[in-house]
Amino acid sequence: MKPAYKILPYAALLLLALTPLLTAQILRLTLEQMVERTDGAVHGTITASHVTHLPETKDGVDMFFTTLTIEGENLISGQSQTIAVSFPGGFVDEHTGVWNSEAPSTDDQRIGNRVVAFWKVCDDLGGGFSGNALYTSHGGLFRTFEDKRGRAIVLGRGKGYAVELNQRLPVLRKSIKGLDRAKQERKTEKRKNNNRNF
Amino acid sequence: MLFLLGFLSAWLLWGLGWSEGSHLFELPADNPLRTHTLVAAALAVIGLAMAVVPRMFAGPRGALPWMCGLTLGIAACGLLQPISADSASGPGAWILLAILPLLIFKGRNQDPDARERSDPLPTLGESLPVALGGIGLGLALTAIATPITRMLPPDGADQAIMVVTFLGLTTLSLWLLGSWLGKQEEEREASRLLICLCLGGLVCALSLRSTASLTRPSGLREVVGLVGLDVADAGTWAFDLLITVVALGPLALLSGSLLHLAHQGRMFLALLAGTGVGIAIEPLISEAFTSPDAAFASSWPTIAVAGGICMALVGAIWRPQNLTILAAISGGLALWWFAPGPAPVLKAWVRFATQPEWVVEHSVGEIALTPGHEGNPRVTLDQRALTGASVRAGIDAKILARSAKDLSFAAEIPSALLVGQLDLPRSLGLIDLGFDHADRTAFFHAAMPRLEKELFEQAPAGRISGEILTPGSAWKRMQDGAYDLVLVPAIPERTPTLPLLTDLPPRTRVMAWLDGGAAVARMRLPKRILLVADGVFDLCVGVQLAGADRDEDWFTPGPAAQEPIALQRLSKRPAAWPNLYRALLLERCAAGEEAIDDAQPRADFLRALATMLRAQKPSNPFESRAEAFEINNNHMAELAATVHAGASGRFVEETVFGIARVLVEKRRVEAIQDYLGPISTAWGRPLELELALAAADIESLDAQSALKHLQGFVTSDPRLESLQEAAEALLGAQEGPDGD
Repeated sequence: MKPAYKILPYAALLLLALTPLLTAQILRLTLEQMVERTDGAVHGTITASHVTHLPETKDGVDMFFTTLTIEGENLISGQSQTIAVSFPGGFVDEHTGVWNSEAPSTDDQRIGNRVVAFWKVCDDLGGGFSGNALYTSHGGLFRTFEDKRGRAIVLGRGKGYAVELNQRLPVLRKSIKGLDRAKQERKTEKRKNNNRNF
Repeated sequence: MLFLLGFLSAWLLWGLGWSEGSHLFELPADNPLRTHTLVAAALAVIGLAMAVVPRMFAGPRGALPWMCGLTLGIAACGLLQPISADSASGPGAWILLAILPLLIFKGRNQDPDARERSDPLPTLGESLPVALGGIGLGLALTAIATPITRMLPPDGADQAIMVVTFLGLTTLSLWLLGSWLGKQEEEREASRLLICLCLGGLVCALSLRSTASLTRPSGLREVVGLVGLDVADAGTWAFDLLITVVALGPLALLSGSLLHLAHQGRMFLALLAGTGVGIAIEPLISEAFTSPDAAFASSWPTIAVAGGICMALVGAIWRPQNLTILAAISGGLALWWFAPGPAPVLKAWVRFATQPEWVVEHSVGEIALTPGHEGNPRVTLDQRALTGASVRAGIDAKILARSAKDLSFAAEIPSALLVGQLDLPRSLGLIDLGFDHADRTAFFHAAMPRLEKELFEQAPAGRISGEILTPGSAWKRMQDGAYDLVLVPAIPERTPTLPLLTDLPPRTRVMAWLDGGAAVARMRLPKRILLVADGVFDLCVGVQLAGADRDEDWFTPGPAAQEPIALQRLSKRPAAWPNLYRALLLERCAAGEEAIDDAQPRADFLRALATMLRAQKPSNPFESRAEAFEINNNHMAELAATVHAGASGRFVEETVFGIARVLVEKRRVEAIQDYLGPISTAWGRPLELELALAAADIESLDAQSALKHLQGFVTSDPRLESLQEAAEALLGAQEGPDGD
């Protein structure tokens, strides 16, 4: 099995040819940076979507947040997990809501989609709304599909995104686990050093 | 009786105002001179009818029943009918003429005692200033309505709301002011009428001020925000009503006062006739006020000011009293102070509207040149695209090719006549199709030299040889058989009446195209039409108006669709309607196809496509067209089933290929493999579908399968090359030392 890093440069050509140029400006992160900054990653099915309207928030304007419920597997622990992740934007009815340039596309957030999502617990996404933030909005959500042989493939989003190129899910899972292990080890080391200094 | 007269007058006026496209050269753009002149003539006829029976207006509110009838009549004609209903002025005019003698008889017998009294009819000297003031009112009304009309969708529903709102406010003013003004002595009425006219200057200035604020996006947002609306609501009834009240409210109040004060027959005729003349000459004046070399030349503010000054001065000149002179001076100053500068009017609901480079007023409307993609500027007339640059380039090229398909050139120099604007893509398209000469014409032909100078500045060699002709000259050349092809490209959102063409040489093929996203489904269509699709985003209807029969993928439209009435259209935002109109059109064609043997699968395909179009919803404006288009697996399954049942033909292929491109951009790998794979096999592996399947395989990291799909094609399509490169690179990586 060829390592993912060997395939990546060649599939980049595909993404240059196929991926639409996104005009939104979100934080550019590698996979390592994404794992470092987030509290978890899940692969599962979007089973529900709900929009919360916060009228006249302390920030002075109405705010809207979309929350997706994802049922699946935690990519780090391997345990079953159901999690709700939120991002700014959305409509409560045909006329009430806001569009957000950084939100995932309608295709990406459709109920029934299988996705990989990176999330971080956040006390205030805006206007006092707290929850699990879909990290970097559309940059933290990646659709997956099954190829003709039934293998799950994650759709990469291109340069600057945590999952740059298409790759098989087990490969991504292994990468995330490895990166998270390294992150935990660094944290433990840091705690030990702090205790020693103290 | 007056109420009935008003209702019938509305029927007549609405039909005349809505009659368009009866001439071939009117298909891209109306001839507003004709429309405005007809409306003016109708106003004069109505005024004449009123003048015959002066006693019908006896009393302080004589005109009120007539105005109520007129308002309700316009509401009924304009809002309770489907939008593209054929002109109804025919029946209205005949009924009006038929009952006029009855009205005259009834009017004369209304008050037998009054026959004994002498009738203090106004003199010609008193009527003339009223007529002149009416001209000013007509100019001001038409000019101030112009930018408001351009902000809204161009179909009759929005215009109907504007007219009904204006007439409603006028009627209200007539009723409220009538009771106050009616207490005054009669012999002072003429004087008060002139004072009222003098105040027209001030009132016009007020209207100008409020209209100018509406033409700026920030001003518009502020005004509509006061009642909880958004600029995206432009084209809904609440929005249209609000901006009409803001822009035309002051003039409506003035009109009501004038109507009350002019209620005696001859004065009424003078007011209506004058107003009609003002409406009729406004298009001529707009062109005369415009310098052809100016970058921005919007004449509506100037004409509105002229109308206001006309009203202000009339009274001061005829009755030079303190009040009239003061009113005239105040009006003049207010007009000078509030007159806005020329500025392009942008569509209210377009979020990121592009500023035009060049705008000029023409008698047919506002022509603008806007930068487009890839260096191809776009020409618009009242915000409707006259050229196919940018997103419409694909469908424009297709209708050009289909118009000339299998055309045999009879003349030594293959020649075409384009009824519309020539631009670089169209010029190159005509050259590629074998034409050596292409004349151009339309009712905006006077603006074409300047437009072509801008459009061909970067590539002068790309302009096909030919002349810009007046409609008269072009028609003569057509009749002399100078052209192999006469082409009228589709203009978005227009539903003109299609003309009947006779006396043309049989070698001349005349093709007119209509935008499928407009309310075409309700129109009278011929027995066979062409449907051309640019994938799923654009649909055009082609009608061969003249020329020899030919073998083509014709569709048979069924009976006219029962499309929603105008009031229903106004309850939704306009962005929702093009897909619904396309769905109605496809369903109409499906009904027609079902009547033909062996055409059931194609009818089913049309219905499945219509279902998909009806499912479209408003999308994030930051998404691409493909991302914003809704296709779910049910839609795909239904469409695929019809194809496997035998649906075929050029339109079916164009649509399926378009869907393939959308699915590739959406990265819907499973849908491509499950639904397009079998279709590609059934159709003998067409390039478009094989490219989509190859792209899906590359997404699946299956390089070998991708290369198989790309084998055997020889084409200059850049997608083939880039997919081949990606697949080969992927294969190389997979076959390397560390590969599978």
